[in-house]
Amino acid sequence: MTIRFSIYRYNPENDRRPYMQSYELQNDCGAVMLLDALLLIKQQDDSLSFRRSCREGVCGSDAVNINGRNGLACITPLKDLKQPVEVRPLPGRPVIRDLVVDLSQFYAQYRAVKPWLINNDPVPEIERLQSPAERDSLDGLYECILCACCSTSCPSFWWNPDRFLGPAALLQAWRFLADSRDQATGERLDDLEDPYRLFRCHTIMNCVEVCPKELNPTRAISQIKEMLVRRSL
Amino acid sequence: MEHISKRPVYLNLFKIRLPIGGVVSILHRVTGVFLVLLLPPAIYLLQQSLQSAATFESTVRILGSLPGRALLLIVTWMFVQHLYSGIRHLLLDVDIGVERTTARRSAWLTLVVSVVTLLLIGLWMT
Amino acid sequence: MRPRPTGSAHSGLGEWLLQRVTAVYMGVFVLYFVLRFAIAPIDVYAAWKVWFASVAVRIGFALFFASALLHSWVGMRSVFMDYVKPMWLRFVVQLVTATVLLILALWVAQILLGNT
Ligand code: SF4
Ligand code: SF4
Ligand code: FES
Repeated sequence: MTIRFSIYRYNPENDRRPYMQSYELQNDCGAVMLLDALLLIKQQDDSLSFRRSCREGVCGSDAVNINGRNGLACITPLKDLKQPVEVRPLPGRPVIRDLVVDLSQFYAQYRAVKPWLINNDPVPEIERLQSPAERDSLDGLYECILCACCSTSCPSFWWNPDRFLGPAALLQAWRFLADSRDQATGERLDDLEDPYRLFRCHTIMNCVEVCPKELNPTRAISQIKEMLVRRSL
Repeated sequence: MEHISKRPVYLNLFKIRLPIGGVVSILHRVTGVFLVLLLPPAIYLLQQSLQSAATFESTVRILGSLPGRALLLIVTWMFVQHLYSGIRHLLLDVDIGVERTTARRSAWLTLVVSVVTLLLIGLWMT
Repeated sequence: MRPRPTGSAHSGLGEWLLQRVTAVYMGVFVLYFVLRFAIAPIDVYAAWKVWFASVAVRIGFALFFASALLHSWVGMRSVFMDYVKPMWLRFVVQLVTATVLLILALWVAQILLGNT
């Protein structure tokens, strides 16, 4: 018995257009997660390119589209996947080669929400204190590994990648809006208040469906909206 | 950055699995557009029903005829589907049911309840 | 204050809120309408006229159509923003939509103000 794969291939030097290539692995090859399988396939055919690093769901580099759904190859068990396992690059992003996509815009959007603490008070001697409750409000926000599974599954992001910030960046926007130590709430809200950056989100929740860290960008987005509403009243 | 534009983009909507929330969301959109297109006929019917006893009778007759009723049912389905998914969106907005599993369930629920509503109305109409 | 980042003149918040307020009103109105006719159907012209002659009913309808048209505008605009990319084309379809919706508004006004 074999495990069958169908993998998206594109090499900008030789290929005019992308195509799907079939691969097979023996059932007893020892691969548990999809990433193991990809690494074994790469031993058969070293022209296959993909990103990976931590192989345990921490670095966020091996996000791909697996049987139509975005996820991290390293924490996706092979046995749960329908065969042939179809592996494609993250949707909606320019393909550099095979499963490797260009995420510069995604990172630019992350940068655009100023993902750092803005606080103009003099730096205290030890640390800026937070109550346990204040700290708790950051749970489910700071754990994001920027894998881009969410944003590249979001239709609003497909249609407006240049102007809609996308769930990952918006989750981080809320992470700093929700931070009791941050003093730039007003400016951050100003930056989000236009028809595109935030309001292209139509609560489709594809992002929540795919996040490998089980985070909830949709909730973060509604909380930002709620804050905007509060402010305008 | 010129070369970037020449890169292929993978976006085959038939291969990307759309979760049920996405299905309901796109239905919301499609039914919404149809409902906008139905505004003029709806206004026309209202006008006819008010104009005179004769036009009132013919409006009632048109709506009561078999094709009229079938059309009415389709429109009703579009309306209730749009209404229920809209209510779902409103609840999501106020942080109700934003968990992955509840959101999935509520998405299914809008589909089921729309069809049930339709059946009830269908029964009532016959 | 810093200038706003570029974008359209509208802030998305207003439209987003408008969409929800109009939705709620339409929901309530339709619920009332359906219940009203489920409990006591009107099937003769005279009764329909009498019911419609009431100012409250007309105001209810007026608000309903106003909501429906505004809701349509925001919704259609949103659809165009997502799918119609060339700016000139988007401008054209939005202009057409706005014109049609305005004409519908006048038509409704004529119906609601007319023949008592
Ligand atoms: S929110 Fe989740 S899916 Fe999105 S980038 Fe962060 S970890 Fe990945
Ligand atoms: S909820 Fe918003 S951000 Fe998430 S997938 Fe939907 S549109 Fe995109
Ligand atoms: S390899 Fe690091 S998340 Fe999968």
